[in-house]
Formats: sequence, structure tokens, C-alpha cells
Amino acid sequence: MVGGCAPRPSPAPKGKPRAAEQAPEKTAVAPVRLKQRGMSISLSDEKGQPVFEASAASLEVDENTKTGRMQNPRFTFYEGGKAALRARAGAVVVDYAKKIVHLDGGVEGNSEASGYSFRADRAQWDYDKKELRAWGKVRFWQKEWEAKGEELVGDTALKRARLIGSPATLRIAQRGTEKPKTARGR
Amino acid sequence: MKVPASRWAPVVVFAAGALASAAYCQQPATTPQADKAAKQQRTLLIEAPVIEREPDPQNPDKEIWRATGGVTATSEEMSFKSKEVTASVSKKGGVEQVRATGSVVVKGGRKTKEGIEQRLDATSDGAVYFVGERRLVLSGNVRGTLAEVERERTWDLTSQRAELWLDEDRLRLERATLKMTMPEKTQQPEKSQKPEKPETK
Repeated sequence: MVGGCAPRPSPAPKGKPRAAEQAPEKTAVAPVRLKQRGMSISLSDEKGQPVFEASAASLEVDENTKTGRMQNPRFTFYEGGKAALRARAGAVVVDYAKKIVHLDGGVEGNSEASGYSFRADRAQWDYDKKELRAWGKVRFWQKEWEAKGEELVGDTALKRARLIGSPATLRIAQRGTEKPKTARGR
Repeated sequence: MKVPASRWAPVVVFAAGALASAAYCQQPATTPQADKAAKQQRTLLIEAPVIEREPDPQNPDKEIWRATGGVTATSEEMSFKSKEVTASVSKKGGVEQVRATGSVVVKGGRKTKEGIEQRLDATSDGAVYFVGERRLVLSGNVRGTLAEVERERTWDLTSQRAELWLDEDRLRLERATLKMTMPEKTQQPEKSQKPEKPETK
């Protein structure tokens, strides 16, 4: 086991707390805990639901900068306790103080639930904003369409996404173009 | 009359050869390459500085792609240039409609039932192309030309609303003027004409 774990927040006292006691609770402990099992990092929210998991052959945790570094990791982002996006990258730095995951060295991801995939040079995932941002040569695609650009911003599962480029391009398979049966065609 | 077995042989060989030849002739139409090429043609290409995707709030089986900035949308039969283009896409049926707003430049083409190719070049405030119906609706300050290249005939049109069916010789104009231009030798006295009977609202 490498590094240490952030302490669990102490259980809330029963009864209605006074205002003076409430103030320190807000700044005491971030609602995200870091767990390390072998060569993996996982983050969970205050309800104990998984938020992010990553595993790799090497893991380096720096308690001073509150970061964990991994090479060639595979990772999963969760939404509502369910896997929203599975991905891999050349390198990942988990900033568990800021709750930001930096992905570098070529990033590939896909959402099994929605069927989307993306590829980019680097990416960043922000837990507080629930936002995934990817840069470089970005490709975002599904079975029926393919979009390309230089920057992709979306929610964790990429259900909503914005592609920026000069220009960004989108190709959509155009089905349903068969000639309709008109009166003249019969 | 008895036919010696040796005389049957060339007939059988010929028949087998014809069947093989027929099978070979039919083959190219069903090759994966031909299918792939046909599929590749049916593509809507959108180019823009910003392209956004969002689920359709009205229908979970649909999604909306919105392109903003200087947008170009091109399909095999139509192209738009405008400030904003929105494509409504069904997860089951592909692109359903393409809507362009803000100074739209439209280029399109169709073939009449006589096989005459007509080219449309127009500008308008807005345009919607209904992909399944192959119907184009231009709205607001529609100006443009419908040219028949082979006949050297051009229709200049000005209208508040124009509806064009790509699979039919049908054009519907509202609050419109039409002017036909022909080569000089066949030029008719100058007067407003209509390419086909426009429907009136």
C-alpha cells in the first residue's frame, strides 16, 4: 500500500447542531476519499459510491502535492455509481486535493452505455464540474457518426458534448433517404 | 431419335458457362465494396467552428447536433452555408431534418421525371431540409435561380416561402414572382411565367 488515506469524515452528531459548530465542518475534509489497493487508485463520493478508478503497473503517490501518478493506466469514471466512461491513457495524474484527473500521452475512452468513443492527445476530468475536457487531435464517434476537432468538452458520459475546431467536422450516416412512394411512383 | 452422349457434352458445358457468366455479371452489384461505396455516399458532412451534441429533450431516441459560426452542411443532394445549422438525428433512422438559420445560402439539385437536371442556387433567411421526404423549405426573403442546364433555361425566383420536392417536378411558392430566361433564338416575349403550376395557399 502506497501513501495514506484521507480520514473518513466523522459521523454527524445527533440532534440539531449549533451554528458555531457547523462552520468548521464545511472546510474540514473534502468529501472525496482516496483508497489505494496495490497498484490502483479509486475515489468515492461522500455516499461511498465510486467516482473514479484507475489501475496500472506503476503507481507513485506524492503526499505533498496530493497527487498520484500512473503509467499506462486503465480507468473508469462513474456517474451515479455506474460506469459512465472507460478509458486508458499513456499517463494519468490524479490530483485528489483538487479532485481533478489529468490524462496524457494519448487518451482513448468509450461509454458502453451510450456507445460513444473518443480519442485525444490529452484530457482532464473535473469531479466538481462533472466535466471531461480533451485536447489535441480529437476524434469523437459512434456507429452512425464521427466528429473531429481540436477540443472536446462534455459531461462524464459525453451525452452532452461540444466540439471546437478550425473547423470541427461531423459526418452523420444519412439513412432514410429512400424515395418515398408518391402518387406518381405507384 | 437417340443423341449420342458425346453430343450432349458441349451443350451442358455451354449452359454451365452461361450460368457462371450470369452469376459473375451479377456479382459486382453485391460486393461489399459496392455496398460500402453506396453507404459512404449517403453522408451529411457539417463543418463549423463549434459543433454541439445534446439529447433531444422531447424524444430520448433522438439527438440534436447544433453547429454555430460559419457553418457548411453538405449532403449528396444539398448544401447549406449559414450561421447556424441544426441536424435532428434519430438513433434508428439517421438524419431526419437539417435546419439552417441566419443568412442561408442553399445549393441543390434534382432531376425531373424527363431526366432534366435542375440546379437550385438560392439565399433565404432560413431553410429546412426534410431528409426522408426529400423536401426543401426555404423561408423569408427567398431569392435565387432554378436552372435547367440542358435546356439553357433559368427561372429567377423571389418569394417569401419556397418548397421544393426533390423527387417530384414540384415547386410551391408563396408571395412570389418568377421570371424565365431562355436562349435568344427561342426567347419568348418577356413575361412572368411559371415552371409548373404553383400551389396557392
